[in-house]
Amino acid sequence: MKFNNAPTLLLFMVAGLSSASLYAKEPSRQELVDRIDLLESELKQLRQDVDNNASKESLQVISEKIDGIAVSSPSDTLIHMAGYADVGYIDQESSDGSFGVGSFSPIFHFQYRDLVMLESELEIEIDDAGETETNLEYLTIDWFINDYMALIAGKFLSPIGQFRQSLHPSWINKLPSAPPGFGHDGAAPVSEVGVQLRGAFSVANMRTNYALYVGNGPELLTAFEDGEYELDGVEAEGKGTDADGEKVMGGRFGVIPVAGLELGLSVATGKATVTAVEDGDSSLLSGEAARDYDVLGADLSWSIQAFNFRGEYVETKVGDDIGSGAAASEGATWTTWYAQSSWRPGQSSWELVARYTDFDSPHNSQDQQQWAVGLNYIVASNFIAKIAYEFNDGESGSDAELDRLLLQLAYGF
Amino acid sequence: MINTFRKMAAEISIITVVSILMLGSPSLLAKGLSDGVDAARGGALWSENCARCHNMRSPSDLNSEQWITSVYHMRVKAGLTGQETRDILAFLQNATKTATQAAVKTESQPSPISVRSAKDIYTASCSACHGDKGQGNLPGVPDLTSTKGRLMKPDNVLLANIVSGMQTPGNVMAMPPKGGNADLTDKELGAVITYLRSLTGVTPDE
Ligand code: HEC
Ligand code: HEC
Repeated sequence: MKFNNAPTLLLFMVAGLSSASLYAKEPSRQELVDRIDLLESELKQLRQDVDNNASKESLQVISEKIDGIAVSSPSDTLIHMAGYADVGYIDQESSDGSFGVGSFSPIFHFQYRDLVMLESELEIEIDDAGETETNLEYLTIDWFINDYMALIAGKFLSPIGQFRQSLHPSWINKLPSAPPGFGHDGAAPVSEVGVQLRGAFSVANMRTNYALYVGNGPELLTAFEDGEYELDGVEAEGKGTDADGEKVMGGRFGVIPVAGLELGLSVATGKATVTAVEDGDSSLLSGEAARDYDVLGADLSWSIQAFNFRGEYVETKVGDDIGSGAAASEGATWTTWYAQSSWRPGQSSWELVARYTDFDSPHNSQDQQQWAVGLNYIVASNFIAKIAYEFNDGESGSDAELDRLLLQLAYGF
Repeated sequence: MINTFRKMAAEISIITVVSILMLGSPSLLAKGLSDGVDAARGGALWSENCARCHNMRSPSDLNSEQWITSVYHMRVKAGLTGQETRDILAFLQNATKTATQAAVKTESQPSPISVRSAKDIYTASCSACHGDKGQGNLPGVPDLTSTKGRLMKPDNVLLANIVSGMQTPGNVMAMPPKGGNADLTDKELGAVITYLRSLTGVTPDE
C-alpha cells in the first residue's frame, strides 16, 4: 500500500471509532456536527502533513535539481580570478645573497557563455630600489568564433615558441629562472599588440594547433659603443604604437603526432625601426628607415613515463640600415636555444631538473652559456619549492659569467 | 615599392581574417555547454593534454563553475577544439561532484547493467587516471598493480572508497566519487573491482 493512501485509511478508522461511540452515547445533532468539523480540520492538517513530508520521489526531483544547479553555470556571465606569485632568494657569486619578490601576477577572466572571454594579467614587481612596478602582461578579448577558431585581440604573449606563452609562469617553469635569451630584451619576442587567430584541428587523426598574428612589431635600440653605433637590443614587448607603420606577421604551428609529444615551428616577419639611441646623438634617428625583422623558432616537448624533455630554438634577425640614418648601419642576429630534462617518479613529490642554454647576441658581453640544475619539492601541483644552481659562462669580467644559487617558492592559484 | 607591398599584404590579410569571421557558420556559434558532450572522451583528452605544460591539476582543485573559465582559458592556451573543450569540461565537472551528488543518481535510474561490461566501465571512467593496466597514469595516482598496494584491501573497503571518493592528505590528485560517473551502481563498481583484480592479478591473501 502506498503511503499516500494513509489519510483515507485513517479517515475510515476515525469514522469507525466515532460511529462506535455514537451507538454508545447517542450524542446530539450539534455534537455530531462539531465532531465532523473537528474531523475535517484534522484531516486537512493530516493532508498537509503528508504533503510536507516529501516522498522519496520528490526528494529525488529536488536532489536532481540541486545537482543540475551545481553542474551548470548559474548565469551566462562568469567572473574568475587566477594567477601566480613567487618569492625567493638569490645568491650571486661575488655579491651578497638577498631575498626577493619575483612577481605577483593576478589574472582576471570575464566570460560570457562560450562566446567571449576577457583575459587580463597584471605583473606586479618590486624592483631593487623597493619601488613597485605594475605592467599589463596581457589583455585580450577572445572571441570563440567556432569550434576551430578563436580571435584574440589586444596585447598578447608572443605565440613564437613555447617558453613565453606557456612555460614562464613560476609555478610552471621547472627552474627558478628563465633560460638566457628567453627573458626580456633577449632573442625571443615577449609580447605583441595586434590580432591573433588561434585554434586546433585534426589531420589524419593527428592533433594540430595553430596561432597566426599581425601586430605592431618591435622597436630597436642602438648604443654608442667602442667608437661606433651598434644595434643594442630588440624591444619586442608589445608596443602600443607602431613607430614605422609596418606590421609584423607570424605564428606557430604545432603537431601532436602521439600523446605526449609536441613539435612546433614558428616564424615572424616584418619591419622594425630604431627608435632610441643610448649615449649618442639621437638626431641620427630621423634618417633611420624601417629594417627587415625576421624571427624563426622551433620547439619540442616530449613526456614519457616519469621523464619530460623540452627543447627550443629562437633566432631574431635584424637587417642592415637602408636609410641614411646610419645610427648602426650593420644588422644583427640574436640566437638562443635550450634543452631541458626533468624526472619525477610517479608517486614522488621530488623532481630533478637539468637545463643547458646557449645564448648568442651581437654583444660578447651578453653572450652566455649556462648549465642549470635544480631539485623541486612539489608540495601540491600548483605549489612548488625549488632550489637550483646556475653554472654560468660568459665574457670574463662580465655579469654573464657569475654563477648563482636560487631558491624559490612558487604558487599558482 | 616593397614597403607599400608589405603594407598592402598586411592589410589584405586583416581583411581576409575579418571576412572569414563573418563567414563563421552561425550553427557553430554559441553551442550550449552541454550539447553532445562525452565525458569519457573528455577524460582521455584530459589525461593526454592537461599535463603537457604544467603539473596535472586535480579535478578537485576547482569547483565546477571555476572549471568553466579555466578550461576555456586552456582552450586558447593548449589549442583545443570546441568539442574537446566541452568534453574535458564535462569530465572535470562530473569529477567535482560530491559523493552525495554522485549517490543520488543511482537510486533514481538503475542503469542497464547488462549493457555495460566492467571492462567498458573501467575504460570509460577509470583508465584516464589509472591507465589501461591499472599502473597509474599520473602523479598521485597509485599503482594498482603493486602486490603491496591498494588492491590488498578487501573489496568492501575499496568499494566504499570508490563510491565516496578519497584523497589521502598530501596527495596531489584526488579520486573522484565513482570516478566522476554518477550513473554507476554499487553492483557495477563491484564488478569493476573484480575486473581490476583480474587485470592486475592482485588479491588480498586470505
Ligand atoms: C600549452 C600549455 C598548456 C596546456 C596544454 C594546458 N595548460 Fe593550463 N595553464 C597554462 C598556463 C601558461 C597557465 C598560467 C596562466 C597564464 O599565464 O595565463 C595555465 C593555468 C592553468 C590553471 C590555473 C587557473 C587558470 O585558469 O589560469 C588551471 C586550473 C589549468 N591551467 C588547467 C589546465 C587543464 C585542465 C588543461 C587541459 C585542458 C591545461 N591546463 C592544459 C598552460 C597550459
Ligand atoms: C581523476 C582521476 C581518477 C579517476 C577518473 C579514477 N580514479 Fe581511482 N584513484 C585516483 C586517485 C588519485 C587515487 C588515490 C587517492 C588517494 O589515496 O589519495 C585513486 C584510488 C583508487 C583506488 C584505491 C582505493 C583505496 O582504498 O586505496 C581504487 C580501487 C580506485 N581508485 C578505483 C577507481 C575506479 C574503479 C575508477 C572508475 C570508476 C576510478 N578509480 C577513477 C584517481 C582517479
